[in-house]
Amino acid sequence: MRTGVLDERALLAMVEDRFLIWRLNRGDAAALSRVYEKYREDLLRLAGSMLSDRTAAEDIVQDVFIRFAGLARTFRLTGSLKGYLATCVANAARNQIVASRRRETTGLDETLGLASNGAPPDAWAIYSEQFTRVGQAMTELPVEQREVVTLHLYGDLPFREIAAWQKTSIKTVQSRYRYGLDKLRSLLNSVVEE
Amino acid sequence: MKPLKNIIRFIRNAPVKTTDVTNTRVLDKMHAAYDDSAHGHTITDTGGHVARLAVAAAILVVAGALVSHLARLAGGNVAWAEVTRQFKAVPFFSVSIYMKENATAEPTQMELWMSQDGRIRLRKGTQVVFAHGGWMQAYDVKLRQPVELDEMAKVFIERIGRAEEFSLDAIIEVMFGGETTEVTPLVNPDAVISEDMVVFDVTLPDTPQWVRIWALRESRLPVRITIWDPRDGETTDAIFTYSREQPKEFFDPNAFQTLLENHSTGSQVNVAYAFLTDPGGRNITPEEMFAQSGYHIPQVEQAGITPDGAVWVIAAKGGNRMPNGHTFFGFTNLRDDLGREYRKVYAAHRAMTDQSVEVFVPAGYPFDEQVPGKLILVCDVDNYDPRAKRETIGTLELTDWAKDTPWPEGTIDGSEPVMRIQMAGLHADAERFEQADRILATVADAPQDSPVGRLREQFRLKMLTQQGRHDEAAILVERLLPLLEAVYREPGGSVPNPKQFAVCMTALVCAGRLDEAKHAWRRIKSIEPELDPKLGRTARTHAIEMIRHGFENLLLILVPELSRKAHLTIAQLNDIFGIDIKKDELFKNETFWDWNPELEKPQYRTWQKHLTELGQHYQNHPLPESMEILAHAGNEEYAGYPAKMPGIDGYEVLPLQGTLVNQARFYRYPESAGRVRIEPGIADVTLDHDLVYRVGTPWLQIGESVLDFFGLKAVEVNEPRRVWIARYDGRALKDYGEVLAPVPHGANPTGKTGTASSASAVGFGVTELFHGFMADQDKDVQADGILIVDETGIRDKLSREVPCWAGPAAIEMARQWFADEFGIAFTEQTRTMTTYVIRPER
Repeated sequence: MRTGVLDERALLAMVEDRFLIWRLNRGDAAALSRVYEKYREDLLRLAGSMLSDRTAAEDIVQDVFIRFAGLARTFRLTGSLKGYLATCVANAARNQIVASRRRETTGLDETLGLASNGAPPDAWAIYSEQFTRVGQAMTELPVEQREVVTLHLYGDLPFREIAAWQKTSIKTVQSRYRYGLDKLRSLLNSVVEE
Repeated sequence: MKPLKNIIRFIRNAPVKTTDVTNTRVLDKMHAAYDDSAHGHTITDTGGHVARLAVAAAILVVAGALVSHLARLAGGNVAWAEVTRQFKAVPFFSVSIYMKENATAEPTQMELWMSQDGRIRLRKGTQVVFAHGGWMQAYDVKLRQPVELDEMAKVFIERIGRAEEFSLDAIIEVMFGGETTEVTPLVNPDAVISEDMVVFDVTLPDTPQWVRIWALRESRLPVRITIWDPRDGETTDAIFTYSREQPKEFFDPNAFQTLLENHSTGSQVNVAYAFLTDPGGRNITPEEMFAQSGYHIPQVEQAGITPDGAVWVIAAKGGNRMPNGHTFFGFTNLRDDLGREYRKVYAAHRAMTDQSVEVFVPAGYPFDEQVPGKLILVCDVDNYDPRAKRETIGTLELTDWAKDTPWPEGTIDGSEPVMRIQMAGLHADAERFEQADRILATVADAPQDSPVGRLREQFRLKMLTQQGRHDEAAILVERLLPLLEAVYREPGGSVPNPKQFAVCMTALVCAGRLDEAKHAWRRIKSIEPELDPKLGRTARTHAIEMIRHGFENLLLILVPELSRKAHLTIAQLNDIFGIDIKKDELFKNETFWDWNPELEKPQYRTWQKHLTELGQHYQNHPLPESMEILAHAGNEEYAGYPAKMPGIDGYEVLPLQGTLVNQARFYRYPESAGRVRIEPGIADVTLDHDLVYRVGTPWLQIGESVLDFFGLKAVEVNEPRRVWIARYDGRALKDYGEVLAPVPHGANPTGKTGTASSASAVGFGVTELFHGFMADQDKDVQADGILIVDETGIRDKLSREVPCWAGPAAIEMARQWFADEFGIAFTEQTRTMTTYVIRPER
């Protein structure tokens, strides 16, 4: 017999998201706070893992939240709210990477932020030692693998949706995830507890 | 290296904190963006079905808990506290919820039942869901099995299930957007049209939506709650019913599953509302109706015998309803004190008056002039299930009836000549053409003047075709078809039915006059019936639609029949009827002698292609003397069947697929049933070969050659075996058509012990039944099951089904079944028997 308590957490999160949107559609501004509280840390981790420029990562997450608030009255939720926000962040991060390359900077991985383990004075996010390690390890991954790993682990996006977003096959995405994790495993092996 | 799951956990749980200052700043910006977007904003979406469902769920909670909150807010001007108390005192309530997305949308309906201890049962569409304490299970009443829970139903129940944990504030927040203090329920006196009812309106903040709650003033129970959105008419309605406690089984999923497994197929009402009782004592299901009324014999109001000897019976209470919801009418058959059996040639039922009207005629009708002294009407349960055993409700004896009297005018849609034609048709179907002709000769009506005359000629034409008198049939078509066309063109007050042309088309095709058939069909199709000018537009449209359906039905019957009977190719049929059988949806489930939609599947196509390749192979290679086995070269999947190779005569190919054990078990079958043993290691050998054999090669030779090809041989060994000696007590055997496997299939999967493993209209004899038992008792082909030695001497057909006798539980069941059904008893002995051992050649 299959019980209905499986995936209860995800189910309730989904139900809550539906209600948050329902409330926002009806002018309930208080729902914004809940959306913000619910997803800000995951989105910051997502952006922070994709970009080694902390300021850029924080700006992106702020922009995504503010843009979402501007759309919230008419927003139609078709999938998961977290997935939607995560995709917005990933899109912006990707644009940032492309723009940075065009500017022929020294390379994102060597710029400010994670590599230096230092926070700007007016920083929004305070990275733990653990997250700093993760971020440093992430910079070792090719961008495509980094996107897959972060979207899957922080954005809870299924491989199917990541494949659509990366315009590639699910198998390729799964391979990128596997290779990415293998690399992270070797990089983080010494700091991860048994 | 650390396990991957630890790495993932490390990444996922890496903390990132945020500063309050920036959080406030970001939130301020978000609020500003949100406020800015309010200008010119219109609400377009409610958040989808899930939100609507959850809102509906919240309504239910409201019924239980919100009322007390409303009472508080309402300042006690109506005794809401009493309403709450009354509601909580009700041991059981049900609610029908209707949701529609906008003013013109079709509503979605759900029915929910809740007991005081929090047990939930819900029906949505074909799903019935049981839930209690976070546990849920869904069943589909149509599929009659557990299914994946409908997502909406799941969300809905989740919300309801959490009602106890919900604070009232949480409910209000869910329903009304969080501003609980602004929710103000007010008695709306204008909405009250009766003193018996009190109506509350709840105005919601920041939205034009409103909520209305109706409660009975006397009983203090809420009866309806509605949420209405005036922008688009989106509505959620909840209608409440209260009753005493339902039976325990009602909320018991195990009881429900047992019912699904054991209940014979029938009305879904019985399943959807199983165990539900109506508080007002009304029947909910056909089963309940049946339990109350049972079967009854119709009450004869009038009866008579015509001068020709036809018996007509008009009876009140003509309908009987079965527990599964099916209905049947009138009497099943008639016999009389002269020992004559009658045939039913007319039957009708009038729903308005529940009258059955029937005509029976004796075998010798209309020439049998005997006059009975007593008529015995028999009423059987007319079960549509061919597996069902015949059950007689009762018989009714008549000694008094109207003698030499035609049936009252207006009671039966047909004259006595029509009954004679019907009887002639029954004789013709049994190939008693002489008797049929004799009866038809008594109908004197001229076809050009009378419908009865045309009907007679149609039957005559059908008989000529049946007898292969095609030239005479074609001549009759030349006379009859123009008459039928004329009637079809001017049908008077009725809607013409193209079905009347079937017999002419069949006659022309069977006579080989395909061109004439084609022209006739085109002519028929081109006729535009002159419908009654008094018909209104709707009635005319309906009539045209009926004619179109009539043509479709005619084609659906006629085309496959002509493929079978006249062996027409689909190309010929397409040409005659102007259709494209392969592309026409109408024929997607039909098979033709030269085309079967099933064979269009890839695995059949690959088999056909393979046969062609084999045919080409043998153009350049010598054919085998009797047979040879060729291994498949590729990995193609074949759905093969024994077939000829194109261009090669006298040989067939049989695909050998599956495992060797499946081939070997049929070595010397049926005489070897239960007596083949395959040595270890052989069973797993997989076959992927073609067996090419000369047509007429004995199967034993083929079987031995197959074994030889795989390096095996069959060795006969004599060894002691457990044997049942079967003997028959000589009792009168039942009609084999009435003997069925001991366990009905119902919702049980095929292959369950005691259910039918095969069925045949022509029945099975004792040999097939015993072989089936021995084969089933030796599924693993080890020759260690029970063998039966037939000493019954029975040569008749015994049963319409062969039961599945697999497993140890089958042994006693089989003993019982053979004893009960046929009087066959088994005596157990140990005898030396021959076993065929399949082993590698050494």
